[in-house]
Amino acid sequence: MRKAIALLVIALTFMAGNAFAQSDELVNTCALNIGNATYMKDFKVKLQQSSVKPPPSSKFSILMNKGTIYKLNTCNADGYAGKVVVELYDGTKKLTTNLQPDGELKEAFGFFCQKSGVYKIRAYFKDGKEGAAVVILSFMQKK
Amino acid sequence: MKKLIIILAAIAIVFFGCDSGKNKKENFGEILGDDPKLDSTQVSEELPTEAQQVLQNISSSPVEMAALLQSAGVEFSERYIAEVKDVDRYNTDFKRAVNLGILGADLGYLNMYKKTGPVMNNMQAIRKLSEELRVQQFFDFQTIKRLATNNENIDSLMYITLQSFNNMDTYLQQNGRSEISALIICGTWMEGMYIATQVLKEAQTPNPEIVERIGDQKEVIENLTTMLSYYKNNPQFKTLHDSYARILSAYDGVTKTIEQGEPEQREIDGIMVVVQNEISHVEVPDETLETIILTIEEVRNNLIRL
Repeated sequence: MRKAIALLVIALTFMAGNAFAQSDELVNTCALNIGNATYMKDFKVKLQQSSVKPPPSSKFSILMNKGTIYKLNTCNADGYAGKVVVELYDGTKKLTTNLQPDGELKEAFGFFCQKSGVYKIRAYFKDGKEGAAVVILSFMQKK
Repeated sequence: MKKLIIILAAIAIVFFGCDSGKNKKENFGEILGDDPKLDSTQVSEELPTEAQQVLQNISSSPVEMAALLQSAGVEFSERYIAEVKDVDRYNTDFKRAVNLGILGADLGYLNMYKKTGPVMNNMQAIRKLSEELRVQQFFDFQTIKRLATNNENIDSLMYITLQSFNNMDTYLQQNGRSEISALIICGTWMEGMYIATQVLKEAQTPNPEIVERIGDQKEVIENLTTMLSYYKNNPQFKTLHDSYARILSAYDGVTKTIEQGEPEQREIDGIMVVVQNEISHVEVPDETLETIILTIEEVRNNLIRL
């Protein structure tokens, strides 16, 4: 998967500045990191700096199916101070996040869904800094 | 290494050669300024943002459905997918959008099973419908064709086609054409369901995972029916709404229970995965399943015969 997408990304790089916007380039680059998972969707996040607490965020609804392992990969755009924090919610219950207790931000994390339904992704930038990022949702196929 | 360089050079030549980038942007601008006659799909209501977000994400499900079928050991069958030889008969945007969704789901199914031969026929039909719907700028048909003819690039093919559909969806919803997006989503969902239910129909012993996934779609069909109700003033949408409402009624016997449990963390394929131990159990009685299968078959066949 990685090798095949790498070829595609290199090819798409030739198109930079033409048809693909910067965020799409970031999506293509980020898709390199999904490993053997199957791409499903990408979410683009761009937020201004804010001192408001909690910081402003983007929210997305997604349908998840029982028995599937989903993977969320994050990539931050160059030139912005903000690093994206991604949280997965079932209603108001936070299920998982890439923000570790020690403050480290993981670039990838997974969720093994056992209850089909609509879940929410909340994305914001740590400390309310200005940022641009993409989040890629993929799923891992059973072997 | 030599092979790699040749492939890269070939792809680069295609991109430079067709010089599609600038033109695509210009075309994009023209479309934004266009005042397309949406024939009978033109409606005044807009969907609530939340409903749009949920529905936008339903469009990926058939890929997951195809993956489930594959992992369950179900053989590929071309009989399950729609015929593409006669798409000219879809002469309104309503018909084109629904069937673009159907063909999109078939494309996901073909890609998942690495059937690159039929992919090209499918893409020809998608190209025609997308041109007529004025969304062809999201599909790089040259690259897709090149990837489809090289079996080694199936993952890239899957990626580029899924992303094209996602981008098209986003564009439609952000540019006042959410009704077209809604129809595409309805078609995509329907075809995924059709393939899965046909598999069950022909199985000696229905695979319980597939049955449960079909049962799980109750929530989706509720959402789709609600979404279509926003457009009920339009006669074609009303007919579609009524068909989807019949599917929802077929789900009457489906029940869902939740087993409570605390989540745990596990490392899978090198990443930390939260395992949800709150588990849903969906019961689909045999009679209900039979009704769902028959209703889906009837509605889907009506859609491709539009």
